[in-house]
Amino acid sequence: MPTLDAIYNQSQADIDKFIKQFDGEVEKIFESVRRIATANLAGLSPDDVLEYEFVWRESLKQAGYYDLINELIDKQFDSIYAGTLQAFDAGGLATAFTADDAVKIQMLKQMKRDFFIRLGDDVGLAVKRELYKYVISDASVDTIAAGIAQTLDGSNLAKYSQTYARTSIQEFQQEVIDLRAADIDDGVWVYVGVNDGRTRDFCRRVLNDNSCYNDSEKSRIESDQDRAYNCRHRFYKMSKEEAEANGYSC
Amino acid sequence: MGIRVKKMPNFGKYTKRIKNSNSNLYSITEGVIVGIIKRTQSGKDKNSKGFKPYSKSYGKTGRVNLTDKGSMLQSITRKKIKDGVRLYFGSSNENSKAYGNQVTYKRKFFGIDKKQMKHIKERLGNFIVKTTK
Repeated sequence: MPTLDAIYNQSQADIDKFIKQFDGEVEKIFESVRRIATANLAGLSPDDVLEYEFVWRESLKQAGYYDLINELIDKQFDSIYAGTLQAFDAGGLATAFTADDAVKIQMLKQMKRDFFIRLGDDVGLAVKRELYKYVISDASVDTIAAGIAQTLDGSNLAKYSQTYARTSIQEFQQEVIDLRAADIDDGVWVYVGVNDGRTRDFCRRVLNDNSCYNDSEKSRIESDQDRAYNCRHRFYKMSKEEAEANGYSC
Repeated sequence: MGIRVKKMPNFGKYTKRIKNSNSNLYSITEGVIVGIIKRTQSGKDKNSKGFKPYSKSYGKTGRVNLTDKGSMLQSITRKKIKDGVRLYFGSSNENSKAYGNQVTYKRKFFGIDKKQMKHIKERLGNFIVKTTK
């Protein structure tokens, strides 16, 4: 008769695969959460603290966080267990389960589900808290990264904390610049930032182009995957006169 | 006994031009911000002189351009005030870094150079001429 441990070990490979997939999914989701949240939070002043909770929940919803929990946890995790049960059933072993085992399996599932939900919540709270700190009390990037790392300690996401922090600041700064750009009626975008030994090839090419861009060109460059993380460059909007006075070719 | 104004003046074509003044002012300011960033990252202060070298304890060699992650210079922002626009650092962390460079280490990066001043005068001059024609 298979024991619960045997069943658990049998499905461990599937569970590991699922956890790996979950890590990948949760990272993608939190990339979206961070992007949406920073965009939304940038529009608020520190006086609007009460708005943050609402904005954050909306950001989570918009980024698909709740869908992730519902679909990935409920459906996929359940399907792994369903598959395991079917396999044992096909082997004529289903009757070997006692009612007590069934309860234990349910509890095991619930524990796993709780773990993943908590992990998701922790990541969300960490990013949220550190973003709040940056917006409200001007925490340094190291403080932001340390806060995220501490919360994520032990999870695969910890190693990304510095990147999360820096990219959050980068996107926050760009959002602030974009808000300022709304004050300028007709203008062009220019790419601004250091060009040194650490500059990525992609950014170096854009900097060396020294060109002026319209809105859609700016969006395309901005969202290019080669540029995504830790980028030290920003787009600024101004009229052609200012762009040309700063050495750009329009 | 005062004067009663019975009729509002019709500014006509000037209305739109006056409205555009903020847009022009903001554009000039963004140009100044970008100019400060570019000049600083090229290693020059507002007087076109090189910056004082980093201290040994800072542990950084090479050209002094006040840029590590780039967040200090990119945090320069602007605010409309009564008689114009104020430039400042939008984060107190970055403000502290900037103060350290500008005041403590006398690396005068935060300011308008001659070329920028000339451009501002030309732009504002042209704008005033166009608006009042």
